[in-house]
Amino acid sequence: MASTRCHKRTPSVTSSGWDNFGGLGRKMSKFLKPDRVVGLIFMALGVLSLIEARKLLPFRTQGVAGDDTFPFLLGFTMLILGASVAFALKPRNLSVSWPKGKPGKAFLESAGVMIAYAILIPYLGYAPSTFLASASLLHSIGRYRWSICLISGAGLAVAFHFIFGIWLQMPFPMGIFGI
Amino acid sequence: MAFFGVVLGTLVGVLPGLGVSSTIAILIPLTAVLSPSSAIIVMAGIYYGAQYGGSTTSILINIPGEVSAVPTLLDGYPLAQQGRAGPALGIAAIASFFAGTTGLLGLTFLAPILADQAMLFGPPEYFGLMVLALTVMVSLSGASLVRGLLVGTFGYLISLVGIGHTTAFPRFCYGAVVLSGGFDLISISIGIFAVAEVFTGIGESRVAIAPKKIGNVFPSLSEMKQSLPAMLRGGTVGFLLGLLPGCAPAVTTFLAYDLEKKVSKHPERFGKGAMEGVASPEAANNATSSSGFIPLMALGIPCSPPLAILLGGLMIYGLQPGPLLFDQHPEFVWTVIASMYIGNVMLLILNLPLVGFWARLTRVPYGILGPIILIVSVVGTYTLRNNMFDVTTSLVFGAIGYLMRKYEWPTVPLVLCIILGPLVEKSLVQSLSMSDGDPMIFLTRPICLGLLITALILLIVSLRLMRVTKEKDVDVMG
Repeated sequence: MASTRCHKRTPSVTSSGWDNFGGLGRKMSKFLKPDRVVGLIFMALGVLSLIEARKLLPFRTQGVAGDDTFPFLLGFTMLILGASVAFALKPRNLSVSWPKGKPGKAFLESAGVMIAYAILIPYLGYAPSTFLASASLLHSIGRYRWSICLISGAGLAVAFHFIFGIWLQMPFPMGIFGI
Repeated sequence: MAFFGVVLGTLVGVLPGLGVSSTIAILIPLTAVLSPSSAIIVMAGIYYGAQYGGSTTSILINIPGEVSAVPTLLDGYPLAQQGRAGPALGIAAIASFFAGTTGLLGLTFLAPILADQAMLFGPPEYFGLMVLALTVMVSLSGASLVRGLLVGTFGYLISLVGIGHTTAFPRFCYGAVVLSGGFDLISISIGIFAVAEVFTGIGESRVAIAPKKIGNVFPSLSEMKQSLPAMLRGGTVGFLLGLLPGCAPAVTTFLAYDLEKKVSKHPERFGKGAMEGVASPEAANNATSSSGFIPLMALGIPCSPPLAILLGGLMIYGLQPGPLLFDQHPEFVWTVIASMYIGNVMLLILNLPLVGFWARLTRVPYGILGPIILIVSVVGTYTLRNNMFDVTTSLVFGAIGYLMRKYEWPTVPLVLCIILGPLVEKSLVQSLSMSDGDPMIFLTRPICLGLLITALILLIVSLRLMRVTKEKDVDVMG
């Protein structure tokens, strides 16, 4: 019984503690609407711009205006506009829907492939990484069979290599395979 | 030679990342075996051929091949999604031909007279012009002007990253050498428009860009009638502003698009697939390209980076552009001008039959087209400066663009302000240096004052138009 009572009481104590914190959290989440978050980010960018302007001021070569003038004006404008979005304007109640299920999976897979592609190009070289990225993207977006994706990916990589690498002589990273 | 130039130029325009400037620069040594006239004809063909090609990918797959093609995608891509890519491409080709040829007529008959007018523009006048261009922000901001302006300031901030104009001291670089070269506008545009669009399509399980049956692939007579005044207006704006050094097609196309929206009886259609929204910037784009040759040939002043390289090409062949060029080498000048007329006709002949083929690309399954667009985006951004930083930039801005779409923040002011940023800053700093810091310089010079007053009027008109569009949208939505 004692144990049960204890079990019953513990959450109540905890919840009362969290209630205060949760109240603050709720207030915070109510205040931090996407528009307000963006407004705050822009205010921070404005401060950054003003700091940069101050840093550039001693390097001014002409008396009245220099490389610091525009960052200063911009920082000031960003602060005002950011503050108005964060505090003055009524934030919108947007219902943003994110991809779920199969589209969500394809979305995440494709995003992962693109990041991996950008990382792999310098190491594997342009042609092999294009082959891997094309095949993976065809599989994640088109849901084609792997065999088809690999053949099509190879075809795409060869086509791109021919157009950009051989014909237009674009200097792409060769990577470990030297292709 | 003109045919070779325009075909190559169209290809340069279609493939994102392959800049006109770099292509001309690469070709200069290769054209050494040709006569001066033939070499310049090839290079000029590349220059204005690229203006045609840039619109194709903008309309079809939302990738601007050139920055000047960004306004075209605002209405071109929605038209493609509605299964009207064919008429949109047709109108773009006709508008380009129409304005390009009109611009050439100006080059033929008015070159020396108009070139002198460009000399009246000093830094304060450029600043006035850039303020005028800034009024476009209002119509590109969508539902909220403040949000549009805020996005615009972000664009300006991005444009500041790199080496400063007056001190050559790095700004916003924080010790990162890779940032000292600044951000490339094309890589940002590809991220914001193409990468974000593909991921939106993946999230929506899109079947194709235009899943419905494609109708007529050529523009109808009524569409032509509807677009003709837009071509005239866009062509005029592009031609006149193209005379000014530094006023690139990217600026004039935005101004022409904005003008079209302002004069339209139904501004609410813009951004949703208005044919005039394609005709006007395309006309402006090609008119600017043609009129840019006027100060180049008559004064030796290049209006844009590709023309600066072309100027270098002329000098390699011992030709000094300027007032004397018309007297000393008339055979060269008139051969080049005649080839431009031929090149324009060739571009129309080359592009119109391909309209049907291009339009059918919008029915290719998204499972195939999506990966191709993403791969082309990466390859295209890499080829800009041959570094991975641009690729990373396009992916990061792809994510930013996707979030901006989701949370309904306007994306176009970002691109516009990255274009205008360096121009505004340079003209502001130079003007203030000229006047010892006295801002009255902007109000005491007649052209600058006129431009600022026009900007104020346009701002008031834009704000009024914004309210009308909002009211009409509310009416439509019920």
